[in-house]
Amino acid sequence: MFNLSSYLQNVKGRTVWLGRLVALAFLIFALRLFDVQVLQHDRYVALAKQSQITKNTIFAKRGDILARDGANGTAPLVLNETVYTVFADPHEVKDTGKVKEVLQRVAGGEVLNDAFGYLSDTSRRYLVLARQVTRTQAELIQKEDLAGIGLQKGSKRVYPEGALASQLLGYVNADGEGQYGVEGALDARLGGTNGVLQSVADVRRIPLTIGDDNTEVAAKNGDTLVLSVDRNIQFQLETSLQAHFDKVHPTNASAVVMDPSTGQIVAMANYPTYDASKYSTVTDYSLFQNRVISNAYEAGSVMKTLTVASGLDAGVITPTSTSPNPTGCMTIDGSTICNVIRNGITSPTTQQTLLYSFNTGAVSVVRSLGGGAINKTGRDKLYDYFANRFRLATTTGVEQSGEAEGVMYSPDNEQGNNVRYANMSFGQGMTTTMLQVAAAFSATVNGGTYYKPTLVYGTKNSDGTIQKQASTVVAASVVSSKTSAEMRELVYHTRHDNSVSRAADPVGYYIGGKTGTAQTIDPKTGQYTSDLTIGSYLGFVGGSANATPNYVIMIRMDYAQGGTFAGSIEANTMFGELARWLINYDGIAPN
Amino acid sequence: MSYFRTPPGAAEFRARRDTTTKWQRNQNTVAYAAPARMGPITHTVVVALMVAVLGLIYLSQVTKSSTFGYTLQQQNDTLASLAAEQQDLEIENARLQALTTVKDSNVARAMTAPASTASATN
Repeated sequence: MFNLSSYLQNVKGRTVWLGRLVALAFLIFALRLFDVQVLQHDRYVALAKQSQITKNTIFAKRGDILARDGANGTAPLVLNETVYTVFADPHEVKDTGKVKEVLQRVAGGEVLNDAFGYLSDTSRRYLVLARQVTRTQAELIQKEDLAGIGLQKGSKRVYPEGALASQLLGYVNADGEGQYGVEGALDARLGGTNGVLQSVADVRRIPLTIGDDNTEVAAKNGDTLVLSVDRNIQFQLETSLQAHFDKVHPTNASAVVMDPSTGQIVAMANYPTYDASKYSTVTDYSLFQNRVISNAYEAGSVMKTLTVASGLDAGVITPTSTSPNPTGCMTIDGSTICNVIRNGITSPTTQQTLLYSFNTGAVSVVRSLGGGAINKTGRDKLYDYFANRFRLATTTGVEQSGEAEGVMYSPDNEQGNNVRYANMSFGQGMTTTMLQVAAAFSATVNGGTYYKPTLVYGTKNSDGTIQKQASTVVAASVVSSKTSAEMRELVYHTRHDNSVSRAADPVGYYIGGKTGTAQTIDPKTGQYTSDLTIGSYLGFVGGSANATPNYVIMIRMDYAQGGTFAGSIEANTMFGELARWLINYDGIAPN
Repeated sequence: MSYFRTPPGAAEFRARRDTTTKWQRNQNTVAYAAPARMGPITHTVVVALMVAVLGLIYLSQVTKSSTFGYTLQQQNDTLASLAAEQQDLEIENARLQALTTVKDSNVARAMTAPASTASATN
């Protein structure tokens, strides 16, 4: 029989238990919530931020590189172009046929080989199909709205002037790192500093302007450099170098043009060269080297100018002093040194030593420095001039990567003996770079100031103005102004009194120079040979004898065909042509 | 605080002046009580509605703020696109003015060498 009272009692009992269960459940929830919201608060906040906050790198723009264009203008040598990488997510690609058709039609030249071969491999999630796609091409691809195809923005260096000054400029590799030349040496300055954008983002990773966690550290773009290189002179130098290269076919030809008043390099070139925009196709890596600064060699007789400057400045010789040498040869510690030209002059003056490039005359300067004999005193004095004043066999610090130092033995070194120093007086037995020689020669003709050679004229500001870089004086009086004036006159006559050299020089201008023919060591015999020579020419171009010359030029031809002196003769001819061109280009007034 | 409701039909009024003293100037003599008063439930509902409205206002402001992000993004995209276009034009301009381009131009090719370059000398 139904017992209402008992039934109600049971219901009440179950309700009480149900209530207890619910209370327990709520207690568990409450404990769990306490754990999540209080005890693990920081962890979950961090997790939430991780998914909500996006951190983007704001890439700094790499600085452009400009050249000077005449007296006041500039012209771009290196600019940045926005390019895109086309990639696919094969898992998401719906229509492979259309993808192929569109990419071939729009960017056929940039499509990678065999790129489409993996398009059907759905196990891949990232497949690069084309690189270096231009903005216009990218927009056309984007319009097609291809499923599974994406575009990644990037930047590449472009060279409006083509291969002009490639070895001087260097290039930027696929990782965005500057290699060789200015790009390598000033990589940090050109590259700038990347910034960071941190913000709360939506599911599409678009930054939103809410929350307290938004931070933005602006990128610092790289400097826009204005080089001291004049693009017109550079173009003329490269054109001329190639033309003369084709005449005597040396293995390499190099040239540099400097302003001796500032140390600024206005042109610097090598041939053969390469195109920086196609650096990845170069197989001979030596082409990346700027041999003007990276190749130390025995410079030969052009060094006699520095030997004579040392003797004049030390006061042991004068332009008219003589060095008797009846035989044309000289023996030092058992080694015999002879002149190449034997013209019967038995007691040449300093001027004749340079004019006829007498080796014995140069050795006599070292002897004079030693008080009448080649000894430790003479070696010490020559070393002081060469190493400490002219800074030979020392890196110049020019804005180029891979600068060579060269080798010069100190008199205290066993190798720095009398024979070595006798050879050094005419440019053998020590190695220097062309730039070291040209910079030292600049100091001897500019009044005695050694300027640090530089390729940087200044930095272009965002408002278009140029912040000029001041010239760096390394040493103020490496030779006296008197010595410098004597040197200008000696070198002028060395060229002017040579009927071959002066033949084409315009009247009324002050153009001087000295040839150099350096013997090199034959790899077969291990001995110096006249069959393998490096011909060079070092000189200045100016309008007046009483002023610092406008330009110092050095040209070098390695192992030219056509005889021992073919290289130096060709370099001499090229110097004359370039001097005339510079006079017309700059409008240098005759005196 | 206490609440009470006036019985229907009973137009209750109370003297607002102090009836224990004499009539004075500038003193209302009668104040009518409102026929209805807010009870506790109404009060709670009103407060809840106010909270809800305030919440809506807050949300609308936050949403409005977040939409600035999209606008900003669009403006940045436009800016980047225009900058890229300018960059392309600068490159094209530089290429057209490059020495090799000038040297190989039709104008340069059509030029002839001067017959004489002699200049006056002393």
